[in-house]
Amino acid sequence: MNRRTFVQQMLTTLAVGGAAPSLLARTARAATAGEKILVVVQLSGGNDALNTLVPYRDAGYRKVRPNLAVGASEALDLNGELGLHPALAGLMPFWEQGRLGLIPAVGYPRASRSHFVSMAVWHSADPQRAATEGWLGRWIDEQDDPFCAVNLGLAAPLALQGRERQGVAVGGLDGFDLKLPPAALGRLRSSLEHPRSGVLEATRRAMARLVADTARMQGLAGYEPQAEYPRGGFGNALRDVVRMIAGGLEARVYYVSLGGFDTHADQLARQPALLEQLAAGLSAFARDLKALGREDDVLVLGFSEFGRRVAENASGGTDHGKAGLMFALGPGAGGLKGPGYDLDDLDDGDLRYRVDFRSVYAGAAAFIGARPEELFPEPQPVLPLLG
Amino acid sequence: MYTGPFTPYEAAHLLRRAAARGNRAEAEALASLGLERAVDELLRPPEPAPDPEIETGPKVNQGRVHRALVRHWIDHWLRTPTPAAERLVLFWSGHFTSEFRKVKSGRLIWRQNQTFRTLGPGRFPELLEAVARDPAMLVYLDNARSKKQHPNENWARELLELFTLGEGHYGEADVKAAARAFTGWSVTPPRKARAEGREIAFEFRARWHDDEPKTFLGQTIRGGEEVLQILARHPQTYRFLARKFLRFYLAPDPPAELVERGAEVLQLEGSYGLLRWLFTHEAFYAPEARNALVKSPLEYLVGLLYVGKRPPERALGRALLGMGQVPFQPPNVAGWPEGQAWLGDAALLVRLNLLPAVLEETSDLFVFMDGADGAYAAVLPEGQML
Repeated sequence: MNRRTFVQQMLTTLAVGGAAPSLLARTARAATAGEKILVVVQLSGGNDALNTLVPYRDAGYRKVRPNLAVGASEALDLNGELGLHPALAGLMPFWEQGRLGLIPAVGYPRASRSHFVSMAVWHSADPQRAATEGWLGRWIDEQDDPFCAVNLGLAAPLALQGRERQGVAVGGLDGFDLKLPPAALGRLRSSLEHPRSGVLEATRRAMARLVADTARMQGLAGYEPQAEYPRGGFGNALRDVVRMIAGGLEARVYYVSLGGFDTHADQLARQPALLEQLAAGLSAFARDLKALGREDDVLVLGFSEFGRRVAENASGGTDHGKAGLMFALGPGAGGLKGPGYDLDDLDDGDLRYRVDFRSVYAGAAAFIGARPEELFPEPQPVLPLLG
Repeated sequence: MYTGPFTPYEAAHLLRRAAARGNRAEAEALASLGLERAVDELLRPPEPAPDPEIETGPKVNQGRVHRALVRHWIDHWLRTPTPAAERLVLFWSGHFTSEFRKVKSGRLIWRQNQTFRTLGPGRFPELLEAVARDPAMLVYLDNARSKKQHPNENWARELLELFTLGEGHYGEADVKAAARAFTGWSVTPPRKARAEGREIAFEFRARWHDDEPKTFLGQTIRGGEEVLQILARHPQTYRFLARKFLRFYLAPDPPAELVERGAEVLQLEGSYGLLRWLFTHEAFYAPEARNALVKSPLEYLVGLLYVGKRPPERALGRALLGMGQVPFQPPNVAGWPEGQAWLGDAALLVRLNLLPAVLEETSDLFVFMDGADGAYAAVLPEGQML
């Protein structure tokens, strides 16, 4: 009997016997929504929104970006006003299929232009910076499986840290195993059979959990991804996510990152290569999901800690700004969401935010059955992201 | 006062807690001194740390500077004849935090680390005075830019909440008053320092300072000096710190009466006075105090490197990142997590997988952990404990 069937049966029993306690009610919802998966893609460094989703008809845009503006003939037109950067050509099929959603001018009140501060705000979903846990960490606290959320990286990011526990951090699927000489491994296993007391006992349990978790990961059904992923950490991470989904790991959230977007200089030489990597990775990922028959079970949500200044600087780049672009890729996610850019009403030279990022989080989290009150300390509006 | 046996077994516990490194010969030598002289030996005045070569200039690769600093501190911790001072430096750098990613100056970050080494063992008021004028701290918590027209509350708030009194012992109005009192506590502008070829230093800017009287914790004050004096005299400051010390050196949940007594000792005799009292206390040698703390990644690494072999430089950096403790880069202003928080899957996996690269069959783990018999013993839960 797997965990889900067990929980279902237990609840049926409880329901017959009387009212189910709230903890069990939560577990039940987790079990029924368990098929859906959210993949968060973090673009670190502050992706330039205006050269990703380009207002190519806007004279004001072209005027303040004499060297950087993407021209009308280059932009991949979406609606006669906005177009994708040509490096994102790989995503156009998803736009045409109604699977690519774009949300311009996303941010939060009193925005910080610091990478560190702003990233912490996006992770904690608390613009006051008082919260010490992440937005998905609050949800992780409510789940009954430590593998409910997996970060592809060395340590769990703040977004996946709850009060009680945190998501599993997997540096890479191939590396997630104990690499010890057989004698050492044998000694470890046999010593874990003997309970200790106090803090030492908690440590023994943590080690036993690790041994079990690595075994679970090694026990995944092998799957060789069909699509070709771009070279580098981002492509490898998405490839590993596909392998984990195909292998039967029941994680509901995956977290991957692509860095290098801090284009203060030489933006024309740097941003397109990153966008191309993003598009190549996401389209390979979508192809594999389709091959697996899981394309309608996965929603990708992308963000960056801020957008960049509207006007270009003297080094062929752009400086830190405020509101940015979010994107979503998945069933029913297609289209432009929110009121769009307003280049006539800037906030100290930056895009003014017109959509609060927490409402987008809430819309995306609904896909895996998470309610806004599980994610945020204070009530938030929900941006309908799907359908 | 502890009056039980002081054999190499107790000495190993003492050495592990005080310094996070050692070997059997050192534990035996300490045991032969007897408890009090052993503690005196460990708490000798710290040996100075040499300054590292630090690349400077606008084009410098900050990642490389940071890695060099990490290497330099670990090397010093491994070589120094006074390693207890280095574990205390770790304590203070997790208390008076500054992050390299924000301060972005190897020199300033290293100078702060030296301050913890020279003033950390002594009395708290002197350390607090120095930290309040420390350029890395002034930059890190934005006080360097705080002017009377728009006081920046970052430093003032953390000073009360994290560095001295702790939450619940002051009000929002005290934060605002303290922030006003510290306006004008700034640093040399980096460009000016470069042009004049001198170091960035503390600078008081009278034109930025709000000299009006304000009420702080019920007293009328004008400047930051008075805020520091009030906090450095406040008994709650010492209770807050003593509890943190005991969580770092004794057990995760120290008894209230020990915290109370520890606070008095700390106020009268400074950090080393507190440690001398603790290291000779019977509670320190009680069975429940043994194996009661989880080694932080840096302590784990230093303990292993001291008795093992050196892995490639890249592996060291990756290990610290993977285990979750990069020196000079705490996750946020509240410092590093502690205890079981170090033992998440990925971090624990990095800890265990590091062992073959740093240990040899003959490595002496007598001080590193309890129950060590051969290098494979490091895989036991005891290997994770301090």
